[in-house]
Amino acid sequence: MADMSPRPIRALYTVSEVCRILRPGMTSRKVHHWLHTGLLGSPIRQEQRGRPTLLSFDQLIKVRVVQTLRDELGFSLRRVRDAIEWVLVGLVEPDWGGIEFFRTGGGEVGVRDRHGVEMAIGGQLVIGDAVSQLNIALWAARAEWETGVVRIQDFPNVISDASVMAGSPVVGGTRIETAFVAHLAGAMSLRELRQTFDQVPEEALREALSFEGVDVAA
Amino acid sequence: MNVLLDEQLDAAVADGLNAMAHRHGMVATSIRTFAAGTKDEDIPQLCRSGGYGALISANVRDFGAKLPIYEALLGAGVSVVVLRPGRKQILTPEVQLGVLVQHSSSIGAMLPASGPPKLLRVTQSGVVERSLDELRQEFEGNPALP
Repeated sequence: MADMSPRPIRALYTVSEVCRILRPGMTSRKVHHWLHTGLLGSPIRQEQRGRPTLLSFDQLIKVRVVQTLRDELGFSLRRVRDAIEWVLVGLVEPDWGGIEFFRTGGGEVGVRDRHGVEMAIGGQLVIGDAVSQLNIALWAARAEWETGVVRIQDFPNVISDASVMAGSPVVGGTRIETAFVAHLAGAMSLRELRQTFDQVPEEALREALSFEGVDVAA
Repeated sequence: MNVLLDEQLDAAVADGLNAMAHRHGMVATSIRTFAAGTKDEDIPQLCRSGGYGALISANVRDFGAKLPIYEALLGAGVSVVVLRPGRKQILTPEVQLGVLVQHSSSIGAMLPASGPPKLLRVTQSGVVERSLDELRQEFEGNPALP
């Protein structure tokens, strides 16, 4: 069981970072829309005067779940908003109540926790193994919340760890931000980067650069 | 004062600073050599137990996004020195060392041997002390701050 004590240092994410961490498919437009509708709660900092909007780690995880429900499972967020809000709030509670989706007798999806709270999601029909997919996605997001570590699709050597560099994407196992590697690549070749970060495998450096959208000469 | 270099900075910067220790009185150690990948919340204790009075780090993106780390260090009595690139400047290892050595006398003089820890922002043009309150205001978007 993971440590459920409050994390002593907050992680903060720009919307751009959220999109890159939750790639592919996440866009700043979606994140800003979900913020605007209140689904994610208020950001830690609103965008103003060149300072970007900052989101919390909890909100990063919530975006992950909303993304899954909407984009991969076809949920209508407008129609099932109350239930989704309930799920999102519970998802990031220390005692989350083992929230799970289930299929009602009418073929609609419902959601419940082990404390007996139950909510039907009216009108949202599910077929086949969709409920299983929902629960796998939800529990995976919960596991990320508990560990503080978010894996990034297609980049096994890049992670966002809420406990390292305030959540900024880093080369796994280090405090080296992908953003910093990309910054250096503006003046250094891959060979020079390998010399500077001699403890980091070349593949991990390449991934860090690719993650940041940087093409670097060998 | 013993200072700890964060993992992003080139380990050779510690050697370079130590070669000029007579100018600034600091003894630098790279965290890479003994504690790579340390979690943020463990850095203050690492500094205290190792007798490091300051962490020297670098930040190439939004300064405010690292506020939680700086708060934790200062709250634990550890000063923070943050290297920031100038406009169109890239913090290559040579630049890291050059900027830190150039301002090492000021940094050494400004870091307190005792008393409240400080947050120093170091750029090519100089060293500026920032208070946590200033940083928090900047984080909230007060445009009047430098």
